[in-house]
Amino acid sequence: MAAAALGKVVGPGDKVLGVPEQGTLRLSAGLTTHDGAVTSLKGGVLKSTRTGQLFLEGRQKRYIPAEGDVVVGVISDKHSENFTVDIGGPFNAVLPQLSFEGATRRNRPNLHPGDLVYARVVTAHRDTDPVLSCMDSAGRASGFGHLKEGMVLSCSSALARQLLGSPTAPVLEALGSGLQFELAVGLNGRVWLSAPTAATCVVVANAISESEFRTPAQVRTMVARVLSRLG
Amino acid sequence: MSQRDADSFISKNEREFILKALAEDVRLDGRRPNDMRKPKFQFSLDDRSCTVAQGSTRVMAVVSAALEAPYPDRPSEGPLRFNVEFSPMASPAFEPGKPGEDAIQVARLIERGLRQSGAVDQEALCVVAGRKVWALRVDCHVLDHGGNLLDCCFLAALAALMAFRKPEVEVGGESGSEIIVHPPEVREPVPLTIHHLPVAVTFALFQAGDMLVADPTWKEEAAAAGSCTVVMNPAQEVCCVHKADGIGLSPEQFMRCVRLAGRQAEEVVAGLKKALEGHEVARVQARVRRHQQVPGLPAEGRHVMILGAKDPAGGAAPTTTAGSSAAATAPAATAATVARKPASAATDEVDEDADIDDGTDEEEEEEQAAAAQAEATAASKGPGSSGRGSKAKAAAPPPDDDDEDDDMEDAGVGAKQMSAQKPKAKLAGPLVKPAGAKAGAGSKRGGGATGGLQANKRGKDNVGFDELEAIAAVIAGVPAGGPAPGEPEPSLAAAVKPGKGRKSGAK
Repeated sequence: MAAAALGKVVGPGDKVLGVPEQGTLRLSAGLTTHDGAVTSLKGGVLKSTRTGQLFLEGRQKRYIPAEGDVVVGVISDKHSENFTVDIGGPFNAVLPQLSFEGATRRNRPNLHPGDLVYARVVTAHRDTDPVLSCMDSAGRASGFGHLKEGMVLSCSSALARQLLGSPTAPVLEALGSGLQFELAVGLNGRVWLSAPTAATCVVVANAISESEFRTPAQVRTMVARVLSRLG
Repeated sequence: MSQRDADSFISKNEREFILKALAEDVRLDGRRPNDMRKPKFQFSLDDRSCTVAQGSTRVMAVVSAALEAPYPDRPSEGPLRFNVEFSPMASPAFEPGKPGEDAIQVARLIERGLRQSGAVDQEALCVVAGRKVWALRVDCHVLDHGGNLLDCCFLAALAALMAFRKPEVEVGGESGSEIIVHPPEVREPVPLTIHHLPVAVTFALFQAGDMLVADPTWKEEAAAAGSCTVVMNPAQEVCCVHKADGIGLSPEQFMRCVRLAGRQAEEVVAGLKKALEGHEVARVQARVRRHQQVPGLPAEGRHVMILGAKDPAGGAAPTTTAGSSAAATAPAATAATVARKPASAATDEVDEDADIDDGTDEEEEEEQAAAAQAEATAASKGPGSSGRGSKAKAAAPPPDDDDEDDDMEDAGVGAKQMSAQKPKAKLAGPLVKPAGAKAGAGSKRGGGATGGLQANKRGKDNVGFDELEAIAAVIAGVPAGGPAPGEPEPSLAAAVKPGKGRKSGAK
């Protein structure tokens, strides 16, 4: 039943679906229960995460952190025990200095204000600072940590989700066939890109932001045109 | 702009990347260092505001005017004030509340470029020197921050001032003791006098390699070490230069900026003028549509003008359906007869047609010229233009007739149509006294203000107040006990058209 409602567009206060008698429903951003039905707190499209949580996706400038999200953050402050990281949310996040692979009290990460980090959100509540970690739950780095060089592209969280989803987003596939680049997608609407030349980076960034509202076929044509112009 | 807030703070990686890319002559959005984003304009139909979009930056500027006493040291100039607000919806870095330092700096620069450079003629805003002047106020609201707010706000303010129309004002009485402000339905509002069109162009300066980029985005602004703004007009005159804090630039770089700004000014002003032309067409179309739709009456665009009643569609306050310039026959009678038309078969058809024809004829050409652009259909134009004709007649004819007609309609229907007429009465009021003074030889009646029944006593009127009441009900959309509104009106329209040729006779 929940699957049938996926993709539905709702406004704030709308009844999204009834609470089922059996089974569990996990609700995430923008959904709550009220009067025995699942109601929406904001306008958006009903989507489901890989792990089966239901949430509403709408366009907004400010990112609202949710547990389990991966984000690209900028270190704004260094304290004795943790870093303050700007992730574009209502509050700056806290990244403990020991939440890095192989970090000990003697061996702290060498990061300074202005550095970019790729982290995941460990805890996030509405009125408190979110807490980040640069390790996965098993304690390994698995891609998290300091991002060196490259540029950051601002996009909507909807596009970021699309880039992170599976199957691979058509724009990434098309670009990857012709160009060499590396990217880290943050669900806070920031995408870190790195390529051998700055021009390539700029091309990839613009192609990604242009692909948001195009169909896969249109995206492929656009990328083909861009690649032919490049080389 | 300053970088105090964490939200306008960019990472080291991005800062280095911007410089590295500039060394390759590439910018983040794919532009070249001297490429500027082309602005898009959107004007509102209420002649007051304009929204400008430059890339992802959007600013809306609204102009408002009020009659105020001038500053004592500048008795014949109207003040022009600018206010810039950074709305929190534009960027997470903006907080709601009073304008901060940055917003005030932008407002100050717009003032220097538009007011102190003499672009807007402030003396033309004077109504009665030393006592009443038009005080203009331009509010710029930043809706979206994509960089370079200064240029966009400046352009929005200029575009709004060019699109703005101020009400026409008439000064009457001894030593300007009466000022009549005509509503836009009565007299077409007037544009401002703008002498030249300055355009602001901002450059961001970078430490490394003395590089500069034109029209920076917000990331480039955050990574920049300084900025410089040049305000120029298409005549290649430098109106204003703003080089505040940040790193300096060499004279050669500065001259390059000036040349680039000059070219950009030409292109932007050309784009602005084209957008204004398109807007003018839309304005006329909207006006034609407004006059054709009168709620409560059949949709064929008939326009019954009761003297003294305000048209519910916001169309013309019918000052003179009579439009009788020289008609010896009572204009009031004409008014009465026109009013009577829907109520019963017209007995005074000849005169009234003649009078209406006068109006229609003169206005036909004007309306045709305007409506040609608007592509109004002939059918809808017919009945519509008779109404407009009479309305426009009010604007065009010699003041004598205006005064007298206003006077008469005021008198004629004063008692019965209070609510509809009140605004009209206010308008006609001040004219009453000068009418007596001005009319002179041409005065059709002995005195100035008259009692309510005088109009009815004249000429060949046969209108009683109850019929006027019925007509008023029709206008107001209330189902009246009187005859169906649809029936007699086509005859009015039909009568007007064929009657056109007869104008000279009954005059």
